[in-house]
Amino acid sequence: MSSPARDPEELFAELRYALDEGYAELPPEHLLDRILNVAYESREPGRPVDRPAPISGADVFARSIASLNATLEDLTEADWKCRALRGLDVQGLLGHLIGVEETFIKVVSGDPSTDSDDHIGSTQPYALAQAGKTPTQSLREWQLVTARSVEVVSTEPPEREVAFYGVALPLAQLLVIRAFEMWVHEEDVRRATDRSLNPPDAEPLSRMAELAVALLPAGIARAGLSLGGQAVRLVLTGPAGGSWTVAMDGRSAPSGAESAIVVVDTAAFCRVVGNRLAQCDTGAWIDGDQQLAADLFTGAAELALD
Amino acid sequence: MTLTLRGTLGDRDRQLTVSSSDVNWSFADIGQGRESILGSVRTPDAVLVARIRAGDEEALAEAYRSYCAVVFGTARRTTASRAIAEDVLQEVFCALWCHPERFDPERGSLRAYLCGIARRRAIDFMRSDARRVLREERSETSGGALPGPDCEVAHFETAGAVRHALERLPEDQRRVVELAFWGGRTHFEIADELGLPAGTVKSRLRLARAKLVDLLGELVMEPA
Repeated sequence: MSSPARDPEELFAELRYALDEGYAELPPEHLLDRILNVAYESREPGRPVDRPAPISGADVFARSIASLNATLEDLTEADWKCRALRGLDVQGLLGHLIGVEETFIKVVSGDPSTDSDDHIGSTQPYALAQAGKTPTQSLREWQLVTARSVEVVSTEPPEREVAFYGVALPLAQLLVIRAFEMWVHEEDVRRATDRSLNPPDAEPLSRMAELAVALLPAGIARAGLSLGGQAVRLVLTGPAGGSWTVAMDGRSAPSGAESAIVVVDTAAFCRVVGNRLAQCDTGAWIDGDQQLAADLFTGAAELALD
Repeated sequence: MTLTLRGTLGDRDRQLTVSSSDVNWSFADIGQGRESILGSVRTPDAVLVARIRAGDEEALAEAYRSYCAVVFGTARRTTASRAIAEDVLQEVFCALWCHPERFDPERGSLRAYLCGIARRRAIDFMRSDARRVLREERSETSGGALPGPDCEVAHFETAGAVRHALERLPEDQRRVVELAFWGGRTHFEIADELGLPAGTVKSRLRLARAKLVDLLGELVMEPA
């Protein structure tokens, strides 16, 4: 057994209040509801105490572009040739992103010829085309296409529904997904070039986590899991996090109906959603139905586009 | 440490390399607690407060269920008033909900943290009441903080002194104190663990407390 406190004063306080268990006295039962209600009036449940100010989907998108650009501009000639993902080097991976961005611009612009739902195959020509270019040319191509993206979306209403690779969502949410993918690939680049991994700032990460949680039932369904009537309490820690009752079948579930509690760092959860981290490496704390919690992580990883 | 992971999306397998440094902090390192809302194990303090920080209202209810009795008891003993103790109880748990970041699990248990707030708030209530009734008798010297244990305990080999004092308790008392102090159990949990009535656990803790006041000094124990 170890000391529950380090400072002498804290140690004696610890002993004092441990001994106070000898004088413990249950308060009147009705106080519980009263106290909880007063507390919840003081601070809204479900959101972190240090939640960031909300930002728009367009801002999330722009910040992911800026972050990826900063990483790319820091690369050496040798870094660009490092193997990053699916046999692609960093330059080829950027080609994939250029292809995604070109498709995105066409979709938002209403081009009917872009009905592919093959996220990887449809961008492969762009990825392979980078082999004949210098890194500077690839980076320039990327910066031009993202500048066009930003311009195109700036004139569109954020609530307009857009179908992209088989998923129809309001543009604002689609921009968050685009930002999410950019962050995942930025970390692919950083990992490939031995750079430290940094999660997005709390403002964009909060939007990414919130959308990922909302899409969890879709991921669970895509994984072929049948979990009707079951719910998990998902707590994402840190300023970008929050607390949700996740109905595994996508229907509503009341708070308190959960069979498992999952407490996990927000960035770690998002890396699972990006299929870059396994549940066992998230450091998650799980209570209750372990299999149901594992199913939640499985569904999360199914949301990855790659 | 670098791990090689395998994940599956649709019909495609993929292999990825992920460094364990990608995860800054692990709840799994904390281990399991002693009693949960779903089973027989309680959520560790650090996890419980992390949940409260994230806005998990179930976590606040769980904290309340675990510690309301000792917090209420502390407030009641300090104020000798049931009504004031109820107000203190409300303030303590509202403070936990609104400012969970103030709890540092590295500095002690959640019980000690909550009881510390309760005691300070109870004293504030007592002082404000005393001011109202005995305004003239209030001297300048009594307006500051209550005599604290800081100076006295600075001379102690603290942990050693506590251990030595605990060793001098009768076995039955020492066991319950160890479970409450080192083990962080509530009196309900100790009763459950030792198969004793809750009242027996409480009376042993009270006897132990009186003896520890003799052994460690009143300033250290701050007897009621």
